[in-house]
Amino acid sequence: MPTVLGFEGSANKIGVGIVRDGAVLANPRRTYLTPPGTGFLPGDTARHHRACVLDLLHEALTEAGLDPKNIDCIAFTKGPGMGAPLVSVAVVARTVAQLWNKPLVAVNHCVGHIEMGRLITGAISPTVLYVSGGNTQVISYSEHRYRIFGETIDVAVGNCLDRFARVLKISNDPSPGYNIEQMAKRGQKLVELPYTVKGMDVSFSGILSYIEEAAHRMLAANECTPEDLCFSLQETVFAMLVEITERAMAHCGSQEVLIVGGVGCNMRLQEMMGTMCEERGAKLFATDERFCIDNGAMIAQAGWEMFQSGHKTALSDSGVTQRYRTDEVEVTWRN
Amino acid sequence: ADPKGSFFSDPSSQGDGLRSCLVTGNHGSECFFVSGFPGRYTPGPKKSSSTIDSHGRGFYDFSLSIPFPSPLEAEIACRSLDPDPEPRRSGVQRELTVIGNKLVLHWRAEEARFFRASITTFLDYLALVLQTMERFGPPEPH
Repeated sequence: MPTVLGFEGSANKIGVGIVRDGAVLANPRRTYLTPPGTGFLPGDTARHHRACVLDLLHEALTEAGLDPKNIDCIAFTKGPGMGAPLVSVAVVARTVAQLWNKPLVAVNHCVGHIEMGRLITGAISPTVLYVSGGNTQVISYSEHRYRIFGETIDVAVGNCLDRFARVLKISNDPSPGYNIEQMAKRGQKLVELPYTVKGMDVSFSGILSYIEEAAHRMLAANECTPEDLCFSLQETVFAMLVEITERAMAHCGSQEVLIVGGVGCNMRLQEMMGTMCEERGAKLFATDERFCIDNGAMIAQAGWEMFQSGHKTALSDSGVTQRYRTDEVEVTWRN
Repeated sequence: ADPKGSFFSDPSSQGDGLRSCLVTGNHGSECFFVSGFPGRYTPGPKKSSSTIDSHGRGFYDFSLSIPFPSPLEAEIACRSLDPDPEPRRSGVQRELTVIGNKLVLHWRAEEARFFRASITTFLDYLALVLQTMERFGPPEPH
């Protein structure tokens, strides 16, 4: 029964998690927050991660009540993500793996989300909607690969929401998406926005440009409220995501949907997806913010699966990579 | 002033020119200090120079040697820092070697801004490795 320690730091969250045979023993996390109207830059984010990664590691071990000698494997995020934050965390993972004489396993961040979602919800073979600040993909498992059925052709849905939040100077604490969700609940009016589904793919950059321009004009003319804009943006982009997820389910004959990634804890998205599933007689699986949002346990869990099926990453092959597609990984731990 | 220009036009200011482009932009400023294990580590000798290759192109060169308590720790630091390559278009060549208990670093680059960015970024990661060793070491015998 191996115990795996996982490091995650590909974006503005940093987490260290410990997983043993399906049980999450510890999963502390910190978020790099910037003032309203600003985003997080790679260099500043990396500095944040370097400043707290060792405290988090100590916290995770203490919370799990474990010594380094009880750890069997060190997992870390190889990519995709922002270069400097990835390196800052990988350097620590490599150092402790050598100090403690443990094998290292390099994990694909997207696969981490999927494996954590499967562990927490118990979904058997779901169509996966992976939605976050950096990724938007509809994924289905087949023949040892997580295959991408549809994805964004430009920016991620979470990036669209985050950047819209900056236009309205909405707070980044705890996250711009959470604050948009709360404001959207008070929205009264649906402002028509471009709806851009292209076959199995989606596009968000045009919607973002449109609403950025419309926001100032309409708010100045008192034609709508910021709450109306939050509501309209959510309704539009989530409808697009539900549409491509439903199409993927029809293609695969799937009766399960799993939502993962930071945007996946949005209750309105879960509600819309739930309605679609109900109509198809399918089942929806989703997790809460502890496991949806980037965390160390998800990397530990994917690392656990990989380690159990015999994976080990040589230090010389452990360089991070900003681009690392979900379907590049051979899924040796599933039938 | 363009640090590269002054660097090559005035041989007498080479050392200062290089240091200033690395650190603060002021001539005569001190070279950086690598934070490490207090009391146990001292920064190694620093060496910098300029080189002209056979095509007449100028390079910035910089070497740094960091002593560790043992060769094993020097090896660990080397293997932790070496896997992530320099961005290809920066044209920075970085070399890490272990000699005894020392981690010996060498940089070579044509452009001052990439040269400076590579070294300062690398030193941040090196400091992180040293802190990790301090808090979670010493290494188990391999």
